[in-house]
Amino acid sequence: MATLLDRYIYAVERHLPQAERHDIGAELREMVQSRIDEGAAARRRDLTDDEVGVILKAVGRPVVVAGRYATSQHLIGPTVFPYYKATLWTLAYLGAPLLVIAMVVGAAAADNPLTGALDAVGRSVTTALAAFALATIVFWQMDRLSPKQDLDDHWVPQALPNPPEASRGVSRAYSISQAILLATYLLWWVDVLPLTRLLRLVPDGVGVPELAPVWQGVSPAIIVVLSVGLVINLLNAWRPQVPRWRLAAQLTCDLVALGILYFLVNADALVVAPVSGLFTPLADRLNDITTVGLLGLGALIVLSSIDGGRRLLGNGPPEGGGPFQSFGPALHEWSRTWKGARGMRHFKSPLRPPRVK
Amino acid sequence: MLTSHFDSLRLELRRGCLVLAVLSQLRTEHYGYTLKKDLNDRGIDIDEGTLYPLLRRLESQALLVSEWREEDKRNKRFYRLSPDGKQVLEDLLTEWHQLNASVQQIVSSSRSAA
Repeated sequence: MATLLDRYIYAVERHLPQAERHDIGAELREMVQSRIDEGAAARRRDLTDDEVGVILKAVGRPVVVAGRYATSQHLIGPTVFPYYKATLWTLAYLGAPLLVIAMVVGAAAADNPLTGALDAVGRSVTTALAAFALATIVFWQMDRLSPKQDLDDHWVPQALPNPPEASRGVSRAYSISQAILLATYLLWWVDVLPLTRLLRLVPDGVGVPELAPVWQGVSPAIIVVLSVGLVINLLNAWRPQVPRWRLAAQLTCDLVALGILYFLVNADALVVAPVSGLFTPLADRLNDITTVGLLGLGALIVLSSIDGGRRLLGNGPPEGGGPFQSFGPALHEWSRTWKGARGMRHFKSPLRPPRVK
Repeated sequence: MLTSHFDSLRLELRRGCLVLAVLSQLRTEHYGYTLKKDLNDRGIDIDEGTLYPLLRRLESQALLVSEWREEDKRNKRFYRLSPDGKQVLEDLLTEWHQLNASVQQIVSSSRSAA
């Protein structure tokens, strides 16, 4: 059972750089524990959680305490910087799926799908830079105008979340969503789900583009990878503390999947028109789009492999579960960070005259 | 508005002084909590949120060295001045004494003129 101090230290550590996390956390723990011991000696009894909470509140809100350890934040000070950082991460997480959508739409709309996708990436990067610049200016101004004190004194130490029991914990929601995705794909691949037949609006024999024979060769490997991935994710959902063998199995699965993708991307054609004629240009375009899609999928699997490898070696983030698992916590952290917006009443608007004391 | 300006100027004034006080105090070895108490006892009010990041910064500048050691059945990080830190402290103290004497002289003469 984690103590209030454990939960506080964990809350600070998750905002610190990986390399310094445990060192700073240990020192902070020692400092707070000294204050707790001093309080207990003065009262000649152990402190209650409420009394420990008062000490923790005096030390400061975790996100702000962690912000003070940042080494490079010259433009935006440590009081405002954590809110700025949370906003940038949220923008990045929201922007990533939009980028993928823009790539797919760009590829589908352009004459040359590859050029279309690259154009979409270029435009998205420009938009992202503009959004980041705007956020920087807004927070810079907030930093200049706000008092140099914690923006939020309404946080409740007792409401801090428990740290994960082990460093290889995995989010249940992530595992379930992965399992559903893999199951759907597997059922479609083995033709149990008649998605392809439902989408086929014209009768056979008129040359509608279809998957090239190269897919037949890798079909058994795809089925094995999908099945193993499905089982691993179901196990993760059932038992979120992931043992090493499961991490190793997931990593192996990812590497095999990368091998399959490499094989497919190097094939002459992924989509073909059985009969040369009306549908041949469409088949060519679908071929390019499929290649772009496989490359995107490969990038996701590489990220997943890096994440899995780091956690297998024990260097991963405190909460594992895929490269995008931190999306949920990022939004949660964003809302928790801004829940302190009540504390923003301390923010001095330049339009409002100062209160005369 | 005046209070806000005073707070800002006070912060600037204290910033350099705190470094000097911390370096001076670390001529003898301390861990964070006792260092804070010693400084407080001597009239330097510094909170942990300022002190601990400052210690890390000074250590990264090679002015301090630290080591984890067990004391009273708890691991504590002890800080002390490094050889470079000792030299820098001596230079800073010389500068401080000169500056202090000059400011004192300016303040006194302007008071007597007023």
